[in-house]
Amino acid sequence: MTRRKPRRPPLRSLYVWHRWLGLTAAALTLMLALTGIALNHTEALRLDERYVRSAAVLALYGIEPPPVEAACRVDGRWVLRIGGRLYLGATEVARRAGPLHGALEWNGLYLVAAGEELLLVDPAGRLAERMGGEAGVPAGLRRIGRTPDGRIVAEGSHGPYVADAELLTWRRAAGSGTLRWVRCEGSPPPALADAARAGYVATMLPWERVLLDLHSGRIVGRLGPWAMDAAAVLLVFLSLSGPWLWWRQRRKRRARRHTRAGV
Amino acid sequence: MLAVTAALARGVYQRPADFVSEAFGGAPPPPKVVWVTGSLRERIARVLGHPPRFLRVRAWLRDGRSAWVLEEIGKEQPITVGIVVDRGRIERIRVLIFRESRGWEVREPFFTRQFEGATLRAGDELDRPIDGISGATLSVRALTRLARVALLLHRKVTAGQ
Repeated sequence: MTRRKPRRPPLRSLYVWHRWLGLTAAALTLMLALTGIALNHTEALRLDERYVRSAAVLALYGIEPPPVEAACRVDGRWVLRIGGRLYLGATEVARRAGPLHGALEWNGLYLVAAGEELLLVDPAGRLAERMGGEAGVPAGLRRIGRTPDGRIVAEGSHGPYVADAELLTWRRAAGSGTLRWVRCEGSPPPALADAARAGYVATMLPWERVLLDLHSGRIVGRLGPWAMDAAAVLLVFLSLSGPWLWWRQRRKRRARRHTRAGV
Repeated sequence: MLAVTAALARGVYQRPADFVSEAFGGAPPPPKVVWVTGSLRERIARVLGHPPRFLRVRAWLRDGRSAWVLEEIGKEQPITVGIVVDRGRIERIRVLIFRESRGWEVREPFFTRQFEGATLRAGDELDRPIDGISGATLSVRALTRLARVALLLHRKVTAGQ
């Protein structure tokens, strides 16, 4: 004798679907909602200014500290270029800097030639001024140095130019044979390089990026956005099945009440 | 279309040297250096909402008028702005280099005209409200702050005159 499995009524079946799909969507919906609220207040929460320091999250993005591209020793300190940024010791000076040509001490500050610019940096690593072509710095800057009497000289593609006492104006230098040019030589101490590289990594990934990727699902790769799309579709289904179930049950209850009243 | 607009919005509208030259009728005075230290630095930091990204700045100064080329980050990139101050009031303000992808409307005269004649009142605030532009909030904020910084710097360089 075979037992027949009782057929589940359609309403009960939809209720079960509603329940399980609701549970499935809950986690993703929670993620969408919480990250959405946070992203709506990016400025107030300063999400674009705060950076991820967690090694695990950074590893998830494949972020590794870049190597030291160039280093110049000046007055017992090291000027480093890492990933296109400029550092004095382990302190970040500028987010963008061209290739290092040289660095020297000037009136208690450091003058760094990088790319087409001269950057004036104080001993605390604060940028005093950024001087490019508009500030009269010779075009095609290649190296910097001093004249025999200690004035700053910079060589561009049209030859050497000497600066006035405040580095405001430049004029063609005479007698380039007597100029003393500085060179970037040697390697910084490994501990210093590591500290600067760690500092670089610690300012690479803003929290806003992570929340955006969590919100869109991209944080788990190519399939992430599809998972979030699926969660959105589930929400559409739930928003339809919920009212439908409520309406059906309400109709049933009314019918039962009428039946009882009739008896 | 949006990408094209953004690409067109970025760029050098006027070279800083040309702005300074124009401000002084083609014969600018030699620049002076203003060191942004001590109480001036603190006041500028309060205006900007962060420590200034410079310790010294160039000033072109003649007959109570001064010209400044200053930079402030809008959203992510610095906006280079030229400002002329005449006897403590903004004479003109112009966006010289715009690097952001949004908010370029701040370079339009309908916006920059609002600053003409503005001066500082108590608390280093402008003496008038500056109407914002929707979608350019951060650029508007950057320009307004730089206008206040230029007025502060002008006060500093003309204090002894």
